[in-house]
Amino acid sequence: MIATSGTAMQYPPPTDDILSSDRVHASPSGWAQFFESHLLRHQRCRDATTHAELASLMKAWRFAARPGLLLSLLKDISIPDSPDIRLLVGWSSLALGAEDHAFESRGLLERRTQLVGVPFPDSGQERDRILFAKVSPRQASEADRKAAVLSLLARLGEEFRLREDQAWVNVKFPSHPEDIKVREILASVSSNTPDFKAIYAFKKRFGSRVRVAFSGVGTMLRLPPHVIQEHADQAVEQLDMFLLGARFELLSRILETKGEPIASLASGLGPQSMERVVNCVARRETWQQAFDVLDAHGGRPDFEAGLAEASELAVFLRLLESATEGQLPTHALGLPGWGVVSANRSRMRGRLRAAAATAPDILREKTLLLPSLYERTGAALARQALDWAWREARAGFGFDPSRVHPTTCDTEDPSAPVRSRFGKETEPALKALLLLLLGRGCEDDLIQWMAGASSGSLSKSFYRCLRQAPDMLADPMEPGQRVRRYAGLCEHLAGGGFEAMVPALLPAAERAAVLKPGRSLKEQLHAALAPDWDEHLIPLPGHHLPGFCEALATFWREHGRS
Amino acid sequence: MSVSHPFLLGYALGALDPGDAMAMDQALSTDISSRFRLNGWQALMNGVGASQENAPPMQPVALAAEIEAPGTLGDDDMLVSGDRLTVRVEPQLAPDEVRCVLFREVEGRRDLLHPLPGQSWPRLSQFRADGPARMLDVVIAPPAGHHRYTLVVVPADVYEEGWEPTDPRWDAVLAAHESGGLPGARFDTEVAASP
Repeated sequence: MIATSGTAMQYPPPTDDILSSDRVHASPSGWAQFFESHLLRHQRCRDATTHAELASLMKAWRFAARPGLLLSLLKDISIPDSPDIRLLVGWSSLALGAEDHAFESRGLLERRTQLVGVPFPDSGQERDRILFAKVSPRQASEADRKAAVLSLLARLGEEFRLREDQAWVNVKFPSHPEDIKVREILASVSSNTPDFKAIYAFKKRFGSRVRVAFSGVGTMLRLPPHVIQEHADQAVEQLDMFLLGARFELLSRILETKGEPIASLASGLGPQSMERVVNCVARRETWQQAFDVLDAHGGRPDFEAGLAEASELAVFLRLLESATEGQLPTHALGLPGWGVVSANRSRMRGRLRAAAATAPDILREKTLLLPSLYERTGAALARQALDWAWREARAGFGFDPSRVHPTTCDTEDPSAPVRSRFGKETEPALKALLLLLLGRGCEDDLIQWMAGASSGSLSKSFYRCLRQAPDMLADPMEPGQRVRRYAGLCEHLAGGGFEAMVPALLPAAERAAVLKPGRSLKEQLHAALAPDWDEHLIPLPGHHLPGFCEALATFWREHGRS
Repeated sequence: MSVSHPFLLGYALGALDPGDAMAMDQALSTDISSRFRLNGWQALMNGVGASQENAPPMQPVALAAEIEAPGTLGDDDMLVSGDRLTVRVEPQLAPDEVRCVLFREVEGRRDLLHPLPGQSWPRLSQFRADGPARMLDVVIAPPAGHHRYTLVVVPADVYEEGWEPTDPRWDAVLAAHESGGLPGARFDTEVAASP
């Protein structure tokens, strides 16, 4: 139990055992014991000054055991005071209600249990989700802000292990009488001369997965039933074209089901693909930093293990970057910062899938060796078909064959500069431009633009907004060039820049979403946007403001709640 | 902060990554609002033939709702045209998150009483409050005979205005209610011919 004396808290000697989720789960008093271990973690994070202490707290991260690595990353971090960080401190120090300091001094953990007011859930994620909904933001000292961030990073490590690793390993794929047939089908469709009978057999077995994906997306877009039916029919009809275009992506998605997805995908890469991956990631700042850190702390093991470890470290570095900027927005299905984890992991997998497709023989061989191919193919296709359906939806269900191809890793010019010119300096301009585009209802245009829509084919509103972009976002002007171009910006956004920016756009969108039309709307909207919109770069919007708020509300509903 | 619609769709289609599906399972065990919205989407997808054979079963959502005929309930008086029924809904969710659908079945024919075509479909928050509950009044209309009134409570951000009364998705709403996925209430009564 926590013993208190005045305001100085004393804790039992730190042991890893007390943080064990099993022990908390087994506790009959549920919340009270969870609070005890939660506060203990905060205190340990506050006191951690050595590598051993940090490594013990962060042990869920694969790279934590490397001597000195965590200390080098964490010892000098400075966490600013921001709304996200205040909420994080509230969570980490259990600020439940206005009287929480009094509860602390009286040691009344049970009182906190009453304040939470809901049964103790089995999962750590739910405990934290409930806590975040209940705690109050709290202003804190630099030491407590840092402790709160470390506490979060430690928890995110545990969630990462659970969701990005164990959850994949734990999925059971039972054998099916069709397994052998499906292996034959996949072997044929992934060969140099696909047999149309095999494609037909694939369609017959798995066409329903595509149908439900398109019907589901159509339903969610609130299309009339007959239109939904038409799109679903068309998708099933196009499935042969889709399969021919995206067959290697399908194989790589099937290979992902083998276990932890990054390591599974890495196992399907041949030497050429590995080189491609190395070239690709070397062009990305965070990855380069991750490799540098690993090299400085023991070096990199073989490609597969090294990639998995570096991918975790790259996510960790991104989290650290967000934390030091005071930006850790909450997430509906995870801890604050989970959006950073899932966006980065999803991008990494996409790039690895693209790399795997460049050496299809090895990918094919590894995939066809897997057992239970009927169930694995169904699961992989369900995810792929849903992605396809959303891509089609964004492009008005035109069923353009080019959209079935996965995004590739751009390694055409290895001598090109490895650092993107879009970084911290351009972020305020980019944020203002994206808010302008989203507020003017141009999200669909933006997505089409990133997907390579031809010049002039998008709405006037989109080009009007783009013209307001500051010079720093435009391509460098060539001699004699009269019109500004934005190919670099487009490439940056399409290559994950937009996805990475979404969390930073949500606070402003959320503030605008709750505004009501009225005489003071302009003033209120400007106040809502001001923290994220530098009006010296792009003027704040001055007209059609109800529509502007509505469009940002739509964006927030679509992105902010996930 | 609630779970986004695309996430709910992914879950309903079994198309989420395993870690996300696990997180959804956990969230649905405590988050009644997400469960309610998920059931709403699943019902709609069933209505357009997008039911997935291995879709997760709808987990029941319990919201207190009842229909009664004030003044006549419990005695032997039969209802006649012009009498009123009172629908009382006491949601665990914010009234702004909820809309109501009211069906009437007479002589084997089903009519949609609320929302009416061409009229707005208000959220529950726009109805009269009676303590924590919201009240809707329904006027009994001919013909005489056995009347069955079925109230179904649906998530407001999933169901929007504009469906025709003949839209096949209403059947799916009713079916979801009958299977326990969408909460509501039922009231059976005999309606006498007007004197």
